[in-house]
Amino acid sequence: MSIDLEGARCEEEAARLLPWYATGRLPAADVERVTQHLERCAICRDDLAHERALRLLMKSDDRVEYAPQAGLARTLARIDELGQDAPIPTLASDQPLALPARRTGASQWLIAAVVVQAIGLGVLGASLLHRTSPDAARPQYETLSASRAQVTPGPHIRAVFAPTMTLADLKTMLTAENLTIVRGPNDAGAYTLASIDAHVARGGLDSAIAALRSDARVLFVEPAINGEPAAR
Amino acid sequence: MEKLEIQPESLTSPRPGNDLERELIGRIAVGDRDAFRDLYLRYHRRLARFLTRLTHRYEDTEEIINDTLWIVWQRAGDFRNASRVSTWVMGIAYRRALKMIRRAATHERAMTLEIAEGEAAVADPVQVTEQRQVLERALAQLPIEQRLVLEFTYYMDYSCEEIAEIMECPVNTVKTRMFNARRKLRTILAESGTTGAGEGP
Repeated sequence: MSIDLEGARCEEEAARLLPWYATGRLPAADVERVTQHLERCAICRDDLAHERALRLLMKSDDRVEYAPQAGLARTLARIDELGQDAPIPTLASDQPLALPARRTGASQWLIAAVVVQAIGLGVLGASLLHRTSPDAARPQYETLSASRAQVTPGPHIRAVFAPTMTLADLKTMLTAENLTIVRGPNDAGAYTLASIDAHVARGGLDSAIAALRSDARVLFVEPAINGEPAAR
Repeated sequence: MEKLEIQPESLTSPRPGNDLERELIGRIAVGDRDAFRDLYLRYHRRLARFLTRLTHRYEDTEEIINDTLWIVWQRAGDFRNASRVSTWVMGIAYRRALKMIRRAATHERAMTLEIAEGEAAVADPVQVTEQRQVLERALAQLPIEQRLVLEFTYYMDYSCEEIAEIMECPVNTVKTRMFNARRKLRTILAESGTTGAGEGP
């Protein structure tokens, strides 16, 4: 049977609840009321079919995929930049927000400059230690990410990061994967990374390698084979 | 009269995750970054998809998401268990999005996003894409509050009461906005020569 219901409208309250009936988000009492109404109202049955089709169509737009890691790293860096180790415990509302300004192009360059400066200082420091320390024969490590981390003798990863990678982002990335820089960069710009967990097995770095590979800011990453010279 | 087979799709479906999210909020309130990371990743996907439908620009979406979760970090100590975590977070995102949309009318801009391959949800992606384009144009003509009620209802599966909480308005206002949105949508789709979503599956 086909009834032309185009233009017809039901003015009952139950008709206003159809969208949430279609999504299953009505309280039980309302469900009962709407169900009874639907049994006697052809207009609303037709409307319900429209609403369900509309919902399906709106949900069909789920083909877009996003990579959250970059945004997460930026937000964590924002927390780091303000030096807020803990959230503000009590504030009246979320509305009057003291959001920090968006990072400008100039500040991006400033961060890049800081990274370059830090790398330069690290290399210089390592060089001076090499000249003056009685333990010069033993490698000395200055890292950007984990000054308190222990350098482990376990398996290593070699990685090259994009020039646009900021110090904060690098720290966030390494912290997330329990990694620390043990050496580098070498002439090719490669760093040698190791787990901060001294007991990690060689295969234990697989997940970290996979994570680094999935990040567009990591240009190159591969496990360093035991005995193979690491990046210098 | 034949028996009706009109049943709500998820009447009694539990809304899992709220207990876990409350625990995460509690940990964030004392500065636990791992908990923040978990919550961020839980919300990024659903916020990104929802917001991109409104802003059409990934940069704007990303900014709203980051601002929203930044606020969550700052205000986690204010969260009261009377609300669902998702309602609270979505309310923050809603207010940020509304500001941005009103400021820049960004929903007019072109979307430039990478489309993942092989994820079509239905058998005929070409037809669905065409229908979606028609619907998208119709949705863009709705007042933003009406459109948001539609999105919260059909895309995010929020109840009427939850939407009222998110939008900070009476429940009846939500019902009225939805009623007007449906009516206007039908009119627009009829004028465009299609029944649009009316072609049921």
